[in-house]
Amino acid sequence: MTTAGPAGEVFDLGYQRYEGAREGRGRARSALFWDGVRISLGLGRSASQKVLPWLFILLAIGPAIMIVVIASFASQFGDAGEILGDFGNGSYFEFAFVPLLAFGVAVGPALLCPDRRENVLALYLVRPLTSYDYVAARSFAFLAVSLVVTYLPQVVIFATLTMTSRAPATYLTENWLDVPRFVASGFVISVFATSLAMAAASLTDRRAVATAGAIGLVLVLAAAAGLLHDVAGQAGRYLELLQVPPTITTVNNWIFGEEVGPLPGVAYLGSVAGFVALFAVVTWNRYRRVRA
Amino acid sequence: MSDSRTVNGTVRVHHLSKWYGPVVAVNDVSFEIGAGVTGLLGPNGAGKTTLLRMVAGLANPSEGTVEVLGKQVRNNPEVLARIGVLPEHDGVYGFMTGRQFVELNGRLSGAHDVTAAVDRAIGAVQLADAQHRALAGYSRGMRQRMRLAGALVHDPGLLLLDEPLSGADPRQRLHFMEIVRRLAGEGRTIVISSHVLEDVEAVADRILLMVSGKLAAAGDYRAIRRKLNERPFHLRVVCSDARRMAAALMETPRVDSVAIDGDGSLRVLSRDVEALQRAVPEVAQARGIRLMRFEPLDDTLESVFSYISER
Amino acid sequence: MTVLLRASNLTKRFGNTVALESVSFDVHDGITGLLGSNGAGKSTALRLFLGLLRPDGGSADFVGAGTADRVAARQRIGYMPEHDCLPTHVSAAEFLTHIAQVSGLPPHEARTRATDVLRHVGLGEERYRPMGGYSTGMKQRAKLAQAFVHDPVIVLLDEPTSGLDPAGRQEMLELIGRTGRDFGISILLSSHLMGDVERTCDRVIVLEGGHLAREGEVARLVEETETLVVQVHHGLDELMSTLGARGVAARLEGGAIVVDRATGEDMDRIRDAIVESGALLYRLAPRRHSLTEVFQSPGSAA
Repeated sequence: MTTAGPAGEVFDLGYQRYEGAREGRGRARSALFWDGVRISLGLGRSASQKVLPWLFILLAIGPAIMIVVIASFASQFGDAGEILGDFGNGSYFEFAFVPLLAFGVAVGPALLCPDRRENVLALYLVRPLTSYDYVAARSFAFLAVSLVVTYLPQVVIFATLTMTSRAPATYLTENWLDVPRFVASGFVISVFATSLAMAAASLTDRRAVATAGAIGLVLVLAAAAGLLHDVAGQAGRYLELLQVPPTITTVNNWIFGEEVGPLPGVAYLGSVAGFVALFAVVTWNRYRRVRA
Repeated sequence: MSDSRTVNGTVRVHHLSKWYGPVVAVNDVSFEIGAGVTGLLGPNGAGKTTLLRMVAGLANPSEGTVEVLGKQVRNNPEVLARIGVLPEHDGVYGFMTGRQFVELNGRLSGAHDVTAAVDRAIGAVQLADAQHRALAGYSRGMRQRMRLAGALVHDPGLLLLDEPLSGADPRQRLHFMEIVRRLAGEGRTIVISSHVLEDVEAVADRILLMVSGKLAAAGDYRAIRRKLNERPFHLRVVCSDARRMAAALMETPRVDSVAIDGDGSLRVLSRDVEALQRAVPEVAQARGIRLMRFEPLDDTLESVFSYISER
Repeated sequence: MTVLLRASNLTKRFGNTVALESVSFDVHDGITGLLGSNGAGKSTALRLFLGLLRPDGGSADFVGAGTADRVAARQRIGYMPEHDCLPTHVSAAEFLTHIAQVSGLPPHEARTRATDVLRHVGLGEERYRPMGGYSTGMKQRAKLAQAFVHDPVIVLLDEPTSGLDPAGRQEMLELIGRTGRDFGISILLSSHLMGDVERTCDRVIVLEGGHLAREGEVARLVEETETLVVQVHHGLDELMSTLGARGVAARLEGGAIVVDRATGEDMDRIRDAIVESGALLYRLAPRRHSLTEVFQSPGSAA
């Protein structure tokens, strides 16, 4: 209601009801997802919040940068591929796996822990979404970022190797399989890192504790399996499956068509899948009992 | 009941100060209070809890003295035995029964003839029926009362209660206040610190109002109100002819303003409330106006509190 | 009067404790108070309406939602929890925009609503600073803002004055009153303080020990009686005798003069008696009922 006179107008600034669109659960999930992406990259926060994600991202893509530099340099002298030898898409994850996992466990908990620690979760759970929506949106947001960080370097490496080889077209036809391979392998790594991070974040309200716990778990599994291996002899082969970092690199090599042993490659994949399932159940369970 | 409880000046505080580095929590406070209920009020951070802790002997003053029953409180077990404290947050062991809890307190505070003391304390808070049940099963109000019994068991002359009613519902509040009134009637000195002014208004004989570590006002809140001369008094007058009454009142000296509300009642501001208290019935009678209502509007503890805090 | 929330034989247990025992009540539009001690079932009732808990028996329905979809219905309800719940490193403006989106508003509208609502609750420049640095008063305002940024039909407030000093409590109650009356948003206010309810609510529902003890209109429960109370500063005895002489049926009660069923003529006689006796009039007003009376009558043991 405006009062318009010859010399002036007064506008109604009182409270207005909202008559616009209400997009329900879909909008809620997408808002949480994009907010999760922002948290994963430390965007829109103070500088100190950005350090951790970008530090690990840099570490993860470090090897790729190296490979690109070497390849560009080497291409002047001959076939870059030959000079690089084993360094390429197939072996990339052997170097990048640890930083990628570190990115996961260092940054992942930021998506779940602060909301519980600061009790913001209560405010989310009374919105048009379920607690599963919440945890799924947060987890997928981190997974999405992790996949980008995982794939981007591989894409750059593949492009570089193609362009710096003597005969790019030939390189492409001979090596195009590498692309679906690194997609699959990268997917395994990202899903593993994300699910581990989310599970750790579900068990404690403190980010640092979650990170430490996740690292501790990996180390303990590796050490325990190693110990038992010496003791158990034959059956010890199966205990190898519990040693997580080597198992994942084994899966990577298996995907890229290399010989793996002593167990069949699918066993290692199964082991990783098993861990992911376990972590998912832990996370699921925590958010099943809604407490606000 | 010992005589020392009925002596006036149970708590005597003299130029008391307490600072933590640059933060002055209590700043040169002096007062004297005796039997009855004293309300300790103030905004957050005014220093109420620090003051109570010094009176209870739980904190040492930076300057000044605190005397209870004529003796310094510092490191004086004899005096401390005459003080009962009910802090704001206190855990109780849920597995204990109410009686066991009070007994424990009795033994710790060196009460004589613990059994009789426990009976008396539990009787005073009217929880004899529930005393053998575990505390975990008590309602909020019952737990507060049992904690009060724990603070009472050694028959203290001075009781310090910090937000004793947080979380209690109206029925529990009324019940608790009844108990407090009765204890005060026995000659004890009770200090209640609370943010809920209506509780304090209902039960306190006098108040101590602290602002930023200093004592801003003390005594009966109505008397305090009258001393705040710079604030005109607000009164509401409902009568049969508002406009004629308003005109007549405006002719009265000492009336600052008269406003007519939407419902036809008058809102009068005056710095001399006594003059108004005489004038209104006289004016009404002289002009044949029926007087239906005459009410002070800011004579409440709430108004006094906000006026003093804002000064 | 529309019913917004309905509890039907609502029961909820936590282990051996019964928080709510077959409680039935309706919450209408307007400002309703839910009064009871902590542990009487108030918070439990709120959480059941919000879908944060499932009942063990009966139901707690948000009938004013306009949809049967329980999840989508939460777009029309708001919640202000008692505890701290604001992220410390985010500003109010940013958080409100985000939470408005999580409530279903498209991004552009979310930002506009957030700005407007922050103005209505009285947060100025501070809205751009991280909430970790806010004073208690500012935090309460931000908490209230997020409860109705999405223009809900009803907002549930859990002990909104908890921990506030008298000035803060007064401000919060005024803000709540404004939200209910000026903005037209219905409110269910849960509190253990009668004063909160008396000052802001139209209706009150009283819970004691998990049962419904009383419900009704606040105005009805605090309405004036026909009994007139006269308080004077001095001259009480003279006034009593003068009143007697003029034929007014007055009695003394706790230091005040009380006249039951006072008529207009009685008032005139009282006025004249005051002038004649020279008593100094402090208060002349009808006695009001008070919510306190509800609790002085026998009820479930505390």
